[in-house]
Order: sequence, then C-alpha cells, then structure tokens
Amino acid sequence: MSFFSGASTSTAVSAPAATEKDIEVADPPTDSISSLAFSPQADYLAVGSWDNNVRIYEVGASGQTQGKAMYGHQGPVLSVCWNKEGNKILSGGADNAGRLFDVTTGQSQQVAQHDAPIKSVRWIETPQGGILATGSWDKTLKYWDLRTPNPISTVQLPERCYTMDVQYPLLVVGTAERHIQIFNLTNPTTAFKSMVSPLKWQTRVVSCFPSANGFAVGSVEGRVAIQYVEDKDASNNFSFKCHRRDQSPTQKDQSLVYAVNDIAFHPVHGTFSTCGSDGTINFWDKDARTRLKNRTSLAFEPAPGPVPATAFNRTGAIFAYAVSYDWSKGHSGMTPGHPNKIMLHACKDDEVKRKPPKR
Amino acid sequence: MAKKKNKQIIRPWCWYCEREFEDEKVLMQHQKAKHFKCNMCPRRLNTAGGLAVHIQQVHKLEPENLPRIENALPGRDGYEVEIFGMEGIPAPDVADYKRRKEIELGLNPGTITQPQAKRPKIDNRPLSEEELRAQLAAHKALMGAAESHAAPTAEASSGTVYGAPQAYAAPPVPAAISPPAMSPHGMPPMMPGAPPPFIPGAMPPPGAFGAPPFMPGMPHPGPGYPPMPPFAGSPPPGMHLPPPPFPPGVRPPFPPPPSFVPGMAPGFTPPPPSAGPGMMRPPLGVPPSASVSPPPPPAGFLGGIPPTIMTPPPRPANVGAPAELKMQNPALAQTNPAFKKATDLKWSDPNFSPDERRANHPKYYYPKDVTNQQLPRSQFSAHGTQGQDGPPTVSPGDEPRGKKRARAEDFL
Repeated sequence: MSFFSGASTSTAVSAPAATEKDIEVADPPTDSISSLAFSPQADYLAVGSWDNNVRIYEVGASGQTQGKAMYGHQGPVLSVCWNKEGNKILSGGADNAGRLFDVTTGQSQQVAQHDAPIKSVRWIETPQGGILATGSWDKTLKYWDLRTPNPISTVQLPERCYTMDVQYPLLVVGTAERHIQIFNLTNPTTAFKSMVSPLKWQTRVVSCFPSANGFAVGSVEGRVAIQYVEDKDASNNFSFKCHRRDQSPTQKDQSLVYAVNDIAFHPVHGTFSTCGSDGTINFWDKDARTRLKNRTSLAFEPAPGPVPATAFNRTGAIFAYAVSYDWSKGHSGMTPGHPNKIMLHACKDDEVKRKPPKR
Repeated sequence: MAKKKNKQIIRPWCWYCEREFEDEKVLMQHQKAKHFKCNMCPRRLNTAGGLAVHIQQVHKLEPENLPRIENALPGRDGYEVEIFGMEGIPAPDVADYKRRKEIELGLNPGTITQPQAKRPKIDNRPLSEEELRAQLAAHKALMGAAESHAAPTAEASSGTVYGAPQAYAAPPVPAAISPPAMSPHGMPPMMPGAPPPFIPGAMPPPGAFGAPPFMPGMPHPGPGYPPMPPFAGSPPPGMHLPPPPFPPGVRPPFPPPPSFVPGMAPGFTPPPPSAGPGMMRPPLGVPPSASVSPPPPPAGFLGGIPPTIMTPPPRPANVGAPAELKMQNPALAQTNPAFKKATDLKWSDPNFSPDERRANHPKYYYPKDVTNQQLPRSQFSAHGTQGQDGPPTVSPGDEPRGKKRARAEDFL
C-alpha cells in the first residue's frame, strides 16, 4: 500500500489511470448502496446496502477488489464506519440496531439500539478512548461505549437525524426540518450551536472539514453551503448551486434540480467532492470557491444512475462512489435493470488538488 | 421593431373619414390621395391648410368658397383643423374614437385609453402579518393540491411496477400495494379498509404461493436470512397468515435454498479466523450474523431452521403493516419555498427524506415494536434475539399486532 502514500506521484496508480476508466468493484451488493467507508489504516472498503448486508472488500494496488467478508443486519443498512484502528466496523440500519463487526475475529454483535432506524453512525476517537455515535430517526443521538449495552448518554435532537459527520472535536448533525446541531465533543451532551440550515430545502448531507472548523451542507435542491462554526468566520460562509441539468439542450434553464447525496472531503488537500442524484460527481475547492477540473472528459462521465454515496480512502488517492437507485422517484423508479455498482477512481492530482492562485 | 400584440392601441386612423390603417405612413398616403387632393388639377398636397393655400393661389378662388374636403365625414370636411397623419387631431375627437373602439371590441374600459403596463406592477411594500399568513395559507393550499395530484399518479404507476417482479403474488399484491404506496405520500389512510377485503380472496392463493415466494425471494436478502423478506414482500401487509397453513407449503422449498445460498456466497472468500458454527447459534433463524464461512453454516442453520421457522413468521411482515409516514407534529410541517423560475425539483417532499420513504416501503420495512429490547450482556454471541419470543415489551405496536393476529386466527 505504499503506492498510495505518495500523493504526488499519480503514476503509482497508473494501472487504472492509464485506461482512464473507473474500476468496478467485484461482487457488489444486490440492492442499493447506502454508504461507503474506507478503513483509516488500510485499503479496505466497507459497503452498507439496502439488502441488509455490510460487505467488506479489499482494494489492491492496481484497483482490483476482492470481497473479504460480509455480515448482516435485520433490515437495510444505512450507514457504516470504521474505528480508528481499522479493526472494527460499525454499522447502523433500519432494524434500529447498530452492529459491530470485528475484522480480526469475523464476528458481529449488536452494540447499539434505538427506537427507530439508525441513519448515521460515526466513530469518535476521543483522548479518553473510542466512542460510537449513532443518530437515528427517533430524534436522538446516542453515544456508546462498546463495552456496555447502554448508551453513555443520549442527546435529544430537534428532529429525526438525517445525516451526521465527525471530525474531532467537531460533530455536526443535520436533521429533518432543516435543523443543524453542532457539538463540541469536549462537551458532547449539549449542542454547542443549534441553527437552521442556510439552505431552504431539506438537508441531505453534512460533512465536516478536515480542519474541523466548519462543515458543508448539501440539500435536495442541488445546492451546497459552506459554513464555518465560529461566528467570527461567518463572513466566509457561502453557498453554491450544483447538480442541476438543463431541461433540454436548447433550453438552458438548469431547471432539473437534483439532490446532493453525499459530500466527501479529501483528507490531504481539503478539497471536497459532491455527488448527486443526477449521477455526476464534482470536485470543489472551498477556499478558492471554484470547481476543480471537471471530469466529464475523463473517467468521470456522468454515471448511469444516481450516486448515493462516495468516499475517499485514507490517503485520498482512491475515490469510491456507488451508483444505485436512491429512491428519488419512489418505488416506481426501482426498475430491475437499474445499475447497482461501486466504482473506484484513482484520483489524479489536478482533479483533487487546489489550484495555486493565479498571480 | 416587431409588432406588438395589441395593435389596437396604436393603430393610426384618419380623422376625416375614420378609417384605420396599419401604420402612419399608409395613413398619410391615404390622406394625401383622398382628402388633400385638388379637384381642379392633379396636384396633391400634404395638409388641409396646404390645399387651401394652393387653391387660393393657383386657382384664385375666394377663401370662403373653397370646396369641401373630399371623402370626409359631415362635420370634418373643413380646412380649419390642421391634420397631418395622426397629429393635430383634437383631443375630444381622440377620446371619442377610443371609447367607441373599446365598446366595439368589448375590452376593459381603460385598456386602450390607458395602454397596458409592460409588466404587472408589483406591490413591493413590506407585507403585514395578516397578509403574510394569508399568503402562506394560499401557498400551502397550492402545495397540498399539487401533492394530492402527485399521489394518485404515483400510486397507479407503482401498482404496475410492483406487479411485475412479483408476478406470483400478482393478484393480492397490487391491491395491497396501493395502500402502502399511497401512504408514503401521506394520503388519507386507506389501510384499515384494505386488509379485510384482502384476506378472503387471498387466503387460498398463498397456500399455493407459499412455495414460490421462497424461491425468488432467496437471493435477495443474503445467506442466513432467507425466510424473512419473502414474507415481508409477498404476503402483503394486512395478510396475516398464521403459522398453521404454512408448514406444509414451506417445508418442500427448503432443500433448494441451501443450494442457493452457497452459490451466492463463494464470492466472499472467508477470512482466516474461526467464525464457525459456534458463533452461529441462530436463535430461531433470524440471525443477522456474519456469514463468514459461508457454505457450511448457512446450510447448517438452514437445516436447523425449517422446524423453527414457523414461529417467527408473524414477526417480520405481518406485525406492522408499515404505518404511513405521518408527521408527528403537523404544525411543524415544512413547505418548499416557491421557485423563481420553473424548476423540476427531483425530491420535492420537504418533510420526509428519500430514505425514510424507502425504509417504510413493505420491501424494507422493519417493524418497530419488536426491537425494544435491551442489548444482551454477553459480548460475543451473535444475536437475533429480537422478536420471536422476546420479552413482550409494551409498545404501541404490540397492541395492534395482538389484535390483528387475533383477527386472523379468528378468520381461520
């Protein structure tokens, strides 16, 4: 895996890059993918899916993948994450349970319980040890010490948790009715700040900056807002439109507005990607407020279906994205031939690196 | 400049004979040819005054004896008024003419007299509280109307789509689906009405369909999970199939599934460790356990399952028909802001996310009441203890479940 640690040499991933095509993960789930997570220690990818299972794949140096393990929930899996050591996988699902899978033993057990589906799980590595945070549609956020069956604490949210992200010590929860709760994990039981989303449409995803001083919010209306936590930085807040299409090639009105399904920050460069129900993926630089090289001519043609989830690996050299139906048309959109796959993309520098400001 | 739509406002007309013309140039040519023509020589003048001067000077006629203007209306044939095209028409005559035009055309009075503003005047004053409220109510009504139109169409389409993949359960399913399909759209509850009519018609078919639902349903959930989703999918919500009729129908399909499952699993090479059957103590066959070493355990516990599978069935599907997604606090219902220009927002439900709708779908629905349990203390046992004979926690779902089950059993 030393190939990937050298971020500058894009030739390291020459095999996939040369063909300019993204590699499809072998043996994908049988139903829509809900979440992706790379291990923080190695190139293992955990995939949660609506077919009730979490699959773990090993990603090789040239992009080949191999299924390594699988475990299931009793309902669709909505979120997966790894712990810091990369030896445990945590997942939450619509069976109201959070499960832990130990990679070394291959066993899974339930470690969390809510009254409604768990929409989001995140591992928090505090100085005192690791804690699992689970956000659920039962309007609570619970912190769990995996050794005890009861939560360490429960925090009431104003509404159902739709999305959550952690970048110690920042934890941000996006809920229904566009509430956003910001927590400082040195005081995890009380919200540091409670605000309404700057976007006027339903919140779809929140993602923290790697620098933990702010977060990005994506909504169903093809818009992303960059928000800083501290009020003094609030002048840097802005939002922009994305993931929209024209009604027709002649009618350039950008009237088809798709939801932004996921936002992922590059761990090294601080740039971020957005993916949408329109099947496109874009990379952005929030400080320069620009979009980075668009990939339509390269490996990133618009995907054949909505992209519900994306993830960078720990070095930022591999970018994984799922293509599967995201229920944007309700049940009727679930056609049998709908693509359902995970693709791996080798990131080239100019796609993810900030451009130096022009003098 | 392109012609404007409403040419009535501007169409030039001749004061002398009140005829209308396309534009002023033509009008002037008309006046020159018809009214300002000298009758003694072929000379044509531009105005009445010009004509008067010409006749006096050239033909030496006295000013009082000037011939009347030709082709003019009775009161308008003098030389006093100086008309040139549309200019010089006395105001009362202009107003008169406009009135008459309006009456003739039946337009709103003032349309011609006061030409339309290019864009509707928008009153941009800050709205008062009442006005804001009224506007919100109107907007909500608009949104509500839009939603209720969307729902019936969605229902129709989802009915057909659902019918396709699950053809084996076609007869009962589409009808069953329409209530849940409608419910995600927050429509008025049809569910109470739907299940009862179902059950009579549906009871015989499931006996026959009992076998098929297992087969196609198998690959879907994954090893270790075979029996559950087919129940969830095919006996639609509201069909409370009590255990007794099932065993005969169910036992036969079981040999095939084990062959399925190993077929599925090989893609996943088992990681080194023990995993093994020891972990897979499936309490009654609802194990969510990791199928780490796929072939033996699934077959193993599938073998172990058939006798026990009968007790769990009520658990997954029949327990709770997925309730409609209801807002817990309707007062907090959100509406999407109006768009400035025509926009097709793909996910336009402001109150529920796509995942919630999907999780509420019968295919994915996981009934809530069953899982209100504390986590077991033991660390490493895989559990699916949820449910089957779990401690009867009192929860809102239990009551209806008990009643429904009683009803179904009564039926039998």
